[in-house]
Amino acid sequence: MIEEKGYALQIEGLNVWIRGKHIIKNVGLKVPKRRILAVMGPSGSGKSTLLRAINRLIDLIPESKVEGKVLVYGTDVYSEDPYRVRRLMGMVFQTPNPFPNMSIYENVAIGPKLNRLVRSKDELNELVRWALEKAMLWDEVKGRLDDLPHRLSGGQQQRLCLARALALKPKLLLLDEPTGNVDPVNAVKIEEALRSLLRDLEITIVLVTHTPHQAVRISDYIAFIYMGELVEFGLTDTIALNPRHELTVKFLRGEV
Amino acid sequence: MIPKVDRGFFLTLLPFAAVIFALFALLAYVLAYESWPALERFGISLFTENVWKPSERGVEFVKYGLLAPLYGTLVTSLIAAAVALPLSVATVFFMEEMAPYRIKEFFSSVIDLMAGLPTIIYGLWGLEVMVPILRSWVMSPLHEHLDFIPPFACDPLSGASFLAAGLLLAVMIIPFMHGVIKEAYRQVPRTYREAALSLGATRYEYFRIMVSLIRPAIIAAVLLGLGRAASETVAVALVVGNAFNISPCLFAPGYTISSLIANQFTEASFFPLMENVMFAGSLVLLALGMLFSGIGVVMMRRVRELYGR
Repeated sequence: MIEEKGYALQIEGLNVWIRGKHIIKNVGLKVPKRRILAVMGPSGSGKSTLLRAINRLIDLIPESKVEGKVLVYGTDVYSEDPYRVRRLMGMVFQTPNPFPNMSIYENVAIGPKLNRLVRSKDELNELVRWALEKAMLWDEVKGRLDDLPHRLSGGQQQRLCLARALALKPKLLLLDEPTGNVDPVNAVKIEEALRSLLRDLEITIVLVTHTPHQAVRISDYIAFIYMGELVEFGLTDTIALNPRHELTVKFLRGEV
Repeated sequence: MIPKVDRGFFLTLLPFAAVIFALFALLAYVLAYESWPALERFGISLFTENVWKPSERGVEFVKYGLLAPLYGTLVTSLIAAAVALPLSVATVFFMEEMAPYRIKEFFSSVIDLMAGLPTIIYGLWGLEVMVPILRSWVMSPLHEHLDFIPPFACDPLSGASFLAAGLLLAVMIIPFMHGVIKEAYRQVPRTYREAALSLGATRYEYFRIMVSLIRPAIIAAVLLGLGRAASETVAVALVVGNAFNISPCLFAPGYTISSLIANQFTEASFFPLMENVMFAGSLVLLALGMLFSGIGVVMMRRVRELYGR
């Protein structure tokens, strides 16, 4: 596959097997830069696996096999060192998972430290502040950066995880049902934060969700996955108004 | 309050549980009671002086001070823990993260088996195999070339020494420390591993994050390992040299509290107060053991709280 200019993410002929089970079946899609792609589908349809195939966290799963191509901003994910690939991307997980033994500050600072993105303490402080602001958390934590994260609410912890991912200045941001385990107020804040990221930064977002509402509300593109197959992919407006596939119609109505 | 139907069962089990606690209390009491004459006679000097003067003539002619075995216990246990810790942590990480699944399960059970071997086997192996090898290949060369460094300053006569005992103890506590660290390592939820790797951590950086996540368990493993090492008896008695010796030189023979008791107890009843002195030594071991286990348990609880399941 040849890199096409203007695309942040290109997936072609992607197949994933875990312990012999075919989880992702011949998925292909292309997302232009600075867009939000929502990957929607019922639980167990392979959405999270697809996400982990993009940043190669799939390598962690024993007896997993991947075929096909994934290009992220032109980098062939499966022919590079996995850690170098992952440095292009940030990821936010379904359950808030800030490192429990690190302070709020350290949680955000760890990525830049690992990747040697900063040269001085001041620069690091600046970056931590920037990431927390982008995650819309700065005002709530600026006075207590040295606290441990368990003192934050679940929604705040999730935004802390967003800040941790953003501090890497990723080109591609992967989110695995980021609002699945947080209250509605925080969910709205996270969605707002994502929208404003796209306005200000060179970043592309892939968001996995099992609620069609969120997908329609927030995304530019939708990929609807069902039983590991890409049923439908296209502009959100098109899919929301004119779904071509019967399954998509059912899912949007909440029937599958 | 226990429901009426369960009360009979509760009352049936109660004596069994009570017996265990009663036995422990009795043990502690006997140790304290039997130590008392020695403590009364020698006071603090029992632990601060290095003398071993038994006499059959009468109680006024004997003098004991346990400093040398205390020193030996400390030095050998510290050597053991210092050697066993990096090996255990490295093995856990290697087995959990890098070894293929089948190999991992196989070696895991081998290590568990090592933990359960009778200690006399380690002792014999240490005496017949490890000590001669250590003496010719490690101690002698170090002494010849680096004898200006105090720990290497003395000539390794028989090879039985602080170093030999410490290393043998390391071999013996590795399976145990490995087990404690492995349990904690497996408790760290996958989501933290994913988070660390998603940040672009290399294997080494990931290793450091994981170690920091289980730090309380590592501290616990060290303390529990120290406790084990301090109380290990037979194997140490075979390789430590059994001499009342306080020396910075690791190649010199020494004593530990446990090996002292094992070696001297049979004759102890011929000499006034000697048995009581040994009970006092045991009391120290018991106190240390309780302290270490206590801290260890608190640390393990902290791990469970962090990753509670």
